[in-house]
Amino acid sequence: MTERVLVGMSGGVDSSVAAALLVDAGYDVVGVTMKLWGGESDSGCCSVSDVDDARWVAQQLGIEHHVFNFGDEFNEHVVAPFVDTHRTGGTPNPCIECNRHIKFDIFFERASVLGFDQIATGHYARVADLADGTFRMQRSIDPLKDQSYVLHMLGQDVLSRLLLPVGGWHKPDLRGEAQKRGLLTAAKPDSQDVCFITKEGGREAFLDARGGLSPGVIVTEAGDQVGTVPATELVTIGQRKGLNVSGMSEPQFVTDVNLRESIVTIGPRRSLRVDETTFTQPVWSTESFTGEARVQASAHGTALLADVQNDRVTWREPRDRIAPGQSLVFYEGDGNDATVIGGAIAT
Amino acid sequence: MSTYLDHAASSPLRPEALEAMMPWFTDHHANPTASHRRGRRARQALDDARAVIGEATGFERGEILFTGGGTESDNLAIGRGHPPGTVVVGATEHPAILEPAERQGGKVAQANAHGVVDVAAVMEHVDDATEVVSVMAVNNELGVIQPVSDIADAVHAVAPNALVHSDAVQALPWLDLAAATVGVDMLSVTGHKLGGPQGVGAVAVRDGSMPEPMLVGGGQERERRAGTQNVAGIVGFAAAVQAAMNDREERLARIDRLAERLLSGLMTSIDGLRPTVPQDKRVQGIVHVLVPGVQSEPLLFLLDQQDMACSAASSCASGAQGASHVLSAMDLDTSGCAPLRLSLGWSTTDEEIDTALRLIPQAVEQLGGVSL
Repeated sequence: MTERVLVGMSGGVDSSVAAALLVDAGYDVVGVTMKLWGGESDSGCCSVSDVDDARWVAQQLGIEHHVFNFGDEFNEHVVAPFVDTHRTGGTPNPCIECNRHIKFDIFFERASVLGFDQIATGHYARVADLADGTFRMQRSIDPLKDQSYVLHMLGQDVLSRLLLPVGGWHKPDLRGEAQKRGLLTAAKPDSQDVCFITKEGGREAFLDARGGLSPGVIVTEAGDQVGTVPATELVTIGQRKGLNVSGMSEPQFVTDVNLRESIVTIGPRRSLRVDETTFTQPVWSTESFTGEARVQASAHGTALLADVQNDRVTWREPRDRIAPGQSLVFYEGDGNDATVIGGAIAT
Repeated sequence: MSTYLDHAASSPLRPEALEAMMPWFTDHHANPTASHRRGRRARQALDDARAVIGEATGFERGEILFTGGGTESDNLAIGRGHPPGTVVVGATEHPAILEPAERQGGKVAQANAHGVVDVAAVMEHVDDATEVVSVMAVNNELGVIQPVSDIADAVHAVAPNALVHSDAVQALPWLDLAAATVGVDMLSVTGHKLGGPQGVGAVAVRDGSMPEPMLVGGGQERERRAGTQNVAGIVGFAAAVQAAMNDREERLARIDRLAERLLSGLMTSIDGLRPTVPQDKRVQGIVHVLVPGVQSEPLLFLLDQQDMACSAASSCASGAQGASHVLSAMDLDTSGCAPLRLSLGWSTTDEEIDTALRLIPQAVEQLGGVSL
């Protein structure tokens, strides 16, 4: 019997082509747009026009299109924790939490209960089918677009039933394919930003409307006050720009954010250097791992060699401190062939 | 075979309406404002239609203004520029009433636990400065009948100059509006809830209560709704209303029996399923139930996969299912339950009820115990 696939269609070009490739491959495909954010947005995500785009592409492909409203779940699992993490001085990654709780949990469960064999999305990553019968998230062949970092949390249940049709494509070729097929989303710009933060107001307006922001002082490592910040919550460890401190002998970076007392400490680059990073909430593709891995600390950062232990990563070379709340993703191997062993949240 | 239990969203075209409309797309086509023979014939068709809608609503033919549908009729009736606090509407109204009222700082009368906005709830907000009061005759989600005639009397006693409007879009297929809305100054109706074409409606307005126009530039519809009338659509609307008046007694008895069979069958086969409102307070064709242990969205999805059409709360412009403002207004605990609206109409058959009684329990069982 033909396998049934529920494909998440955001209204962007990547998931449009993903759906088209699945239809070509002979699957019984149904498209779904998840309605996640109901508030103000100018990023182009989750708007009525995005749903229209997804529906029009589905019509071009001759597949059914539905809308699932996960607005309440998105508020609970993504937006509220985003606000809370900022309140405690962390730097959250809402896209990772959305993947963890919405797209690859609630949406996946919904697809299962509705009788679908697999789910699919337009993410740039691949699912590696290992010789021992297990699955791992693998990097996309396009290193500029690779999204394995934001999908690192997927376990065997999801990986074994996940199709990522565009993981084997380079973005320029994919756009060409969309044009060749005449898909209505072929020329649509990529969305880059957090879908619920407006470009105009930024994180500042968003957090200000949800409980206010705390002005703080900037001090040097010696304790001298050298400036102020309008919102301590918006300061990130490692930040250099926007501090407005002058007269220093060398470039200054944020080395610590103390939200309780609204104190931002700055220092020279060398003060940021650390040998190890502790973490919490580890997740694993198969089983828990200790040993040598390549560890990536941001969506498009470089994966650096390190030793992974139970609650910390020891870096082979000292590196800049990682803001608490950011995800650490552990890879085996290098380059496009690298696969995800697991991940955790830096503390 | 398709199972269509979404008549309250839109009912299929009645054959009488289709037949009546056809010549107006072809041989009889003309602009009804034209002075030539064909134009005059089109104008007469509009006047004949006005008489039919007048008879159905209890208004004179000259008091019927044709519009582009229920929303437009509602917007026109509420009007614009009322001072804050002088518009009073029910909490369970359609957004076509709620939004214009909200924009003018209108007040909202709450519903009781049965979803009914009663006289006392309305009168809490009415004083001699009140300009417009709007309470729907039958609620579109629940099917409950509201005491609009009593509300009109009570409002007029306190505020003699206030206009009482009722959105009777969902009432037209079921109630004798002339009897049920005595004392009401304005009524909104539309064709496609009872077998007329979509995109045609009317607002009935007592002489002397004419609202401010929304569309100007042509003078049609007593200068309240400029623009060439949709002649074929209006003829189809009137034909559907006439057919509904002709077969009223037989149709209501038949649909009452089908709805009763549907509800009792569902209550037998699905543990804990219950009707949302008391059965003696609703119109025959709308069966609204709460299904425990499941969510509406996946339930509708599975039914759709079997080509069965029904609905839950309101659908927003994106197609996403939103939470029901009607259920919220009732202060009814619906947690853990899927609201489901099954609405029957002129074309509903015993076979469709049989299919629904097979498909709904199957879908609920497939979703059982999964709280998504």
